[in-house]
Amino acid sequence: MPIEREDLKELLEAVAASGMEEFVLETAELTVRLRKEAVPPGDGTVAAGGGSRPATERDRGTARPVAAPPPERATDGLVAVTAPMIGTFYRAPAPGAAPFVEIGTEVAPDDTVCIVEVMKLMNGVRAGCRGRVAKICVENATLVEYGQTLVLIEPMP
Amino acid sequence: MNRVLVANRGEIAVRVIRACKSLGLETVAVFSEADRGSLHARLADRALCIGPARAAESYLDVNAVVTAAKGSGCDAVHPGYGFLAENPILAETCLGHGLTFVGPSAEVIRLMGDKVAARRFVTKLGVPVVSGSEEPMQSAGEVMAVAAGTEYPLLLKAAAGGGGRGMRVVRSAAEIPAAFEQARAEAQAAFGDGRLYVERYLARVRHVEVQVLADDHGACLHLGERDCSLQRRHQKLLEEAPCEALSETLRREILEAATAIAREAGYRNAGTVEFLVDPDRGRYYFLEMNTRIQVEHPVTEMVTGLDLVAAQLRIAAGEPLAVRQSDVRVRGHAIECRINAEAPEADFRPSPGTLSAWRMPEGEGIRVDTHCYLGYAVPPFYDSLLAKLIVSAPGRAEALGRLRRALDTFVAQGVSTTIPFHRRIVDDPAFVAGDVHTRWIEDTFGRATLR
Repeated sequence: MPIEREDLKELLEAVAASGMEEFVLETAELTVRLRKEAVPPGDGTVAAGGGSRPATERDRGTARPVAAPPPERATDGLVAVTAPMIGTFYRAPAPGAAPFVEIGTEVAPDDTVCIVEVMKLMNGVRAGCRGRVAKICVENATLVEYGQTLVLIEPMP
Repeated sequence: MNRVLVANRGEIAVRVIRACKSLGLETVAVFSEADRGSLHARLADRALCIGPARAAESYLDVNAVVTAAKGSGCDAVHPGYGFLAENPILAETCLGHGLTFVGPSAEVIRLMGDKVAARRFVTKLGVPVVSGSEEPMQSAGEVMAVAAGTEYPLLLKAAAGGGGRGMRVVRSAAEIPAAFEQARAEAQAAFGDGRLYVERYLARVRHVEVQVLADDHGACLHLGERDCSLQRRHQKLLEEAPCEALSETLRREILEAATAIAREAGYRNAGTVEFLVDPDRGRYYFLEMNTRIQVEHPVTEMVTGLDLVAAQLRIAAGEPLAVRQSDVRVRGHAIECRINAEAPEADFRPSPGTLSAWRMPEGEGIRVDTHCYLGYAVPPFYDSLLAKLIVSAPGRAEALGRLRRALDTFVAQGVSTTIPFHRRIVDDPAFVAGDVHTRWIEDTFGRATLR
């Protein structure tokens, strides 16, 4: 999903206006990390990089310096649902069928939110927590890497 | 063939990517979470994370590899060595998904992967094997019955074996029951196949292997031999080409036996036929055939001037071999040292860590194949090979001099390495004289003397 300059601007404004201290967005192409320091409101930092690196990028002293959170927790309470294996990401159980979830769908931990297909084997991916779908990070029917963030969920009690 | 998935890591993945680039092929690397950001992933045109650090869930996962290949638009898969390189299921799965597997057919991999079947096959061709049991041994009692008709020591060996696992030397009948159980348990754990067979154990022999290349158009030739006698616990440490201990007659016999085996097996691509050789008696015995590129392939490249990995890719693409047997000339001498992250003074214990200093030797006749760089963190999950130092020169004595100087200037800090150990080998009078055998390292550098 290509991100335009306009999108970034909008994102900056939205984050600035919110109570969030940090915000991370991952797409197939880039990672955007916005963090508020103890500085005047609206001053965020944008860092893009990592190519197609998923959310599990960890600095082992060797990896390219791409800051990204561990897979379980995105930021500000958003929980990342990550790919359990390399495969093809599908939003719906069959071509033409309704997607498992849309943005805003409320999910229970055991609800399937998407499918990762490996060699004709459909692997349902569960939400893992109760909450509301905040973002679907991957285009339908694209290759996803192991550990790549697929869906972000805003947990609910 | 346009885009190749490199189903490996470390120096061989880097080596395969380099060969692909030289042929104008695009590359896709796969990596585990522990190898994120590693050199092979950065050198490839694209890199995909296929699983967690554990090899069984990443580099050994056929489905993940094939999914990555198909999903990234590859039309071929190069398996390197180790991991899935000799797994017939990968070869079959590639075929089933319209991918070219850079290697022989699944049938040949299966034949040569079964040591009992391979022995039977070469025996039919008249190639000598070390005398021993034809059939797998069902019990310690059966081993004793076979042992009664031969002389000790004997070697218990896993049918599915490799890398020294599932092997036990037996020096008397009393040792058989315990050794049998241990070897069987080890073979079962390592290969999922507890079948063992027994053979005469040859104590002072050399390990000599022949590089073969075969294409789809009926060409099957050898690229000379390598002497890999310097081993520790059946792991090779230093390899040379050619093997100077062979008489011309013995060399010719071994080279012909190797090509006959490859030809009759319907072999395609690069492979290696291994022998145990007793040069004094002029005897050789088939050990096994490895159906992949080997770690030590560079010594053959250095003396023949041929790029073996590029040849593998060309053969897989269906091209006929560009050389005939009569074009193959072995010139000069080459030696390879495996620089491992191991502590020789601590029984070669693996030594993962971050390379706080790393400087490789350079100069004429010096080649280093590696995936390492300053600051690289050697992960604890995979084999300990850091680099292969290869030297070549017109003769063995000059090659040894070059090797000494290269080892002296090779700087690696942050992990323990085998560099100082190689430096000691290269100065040893017996090694300099070429008077070594497969047990020589253990005999000469026993535990006490390594400290």
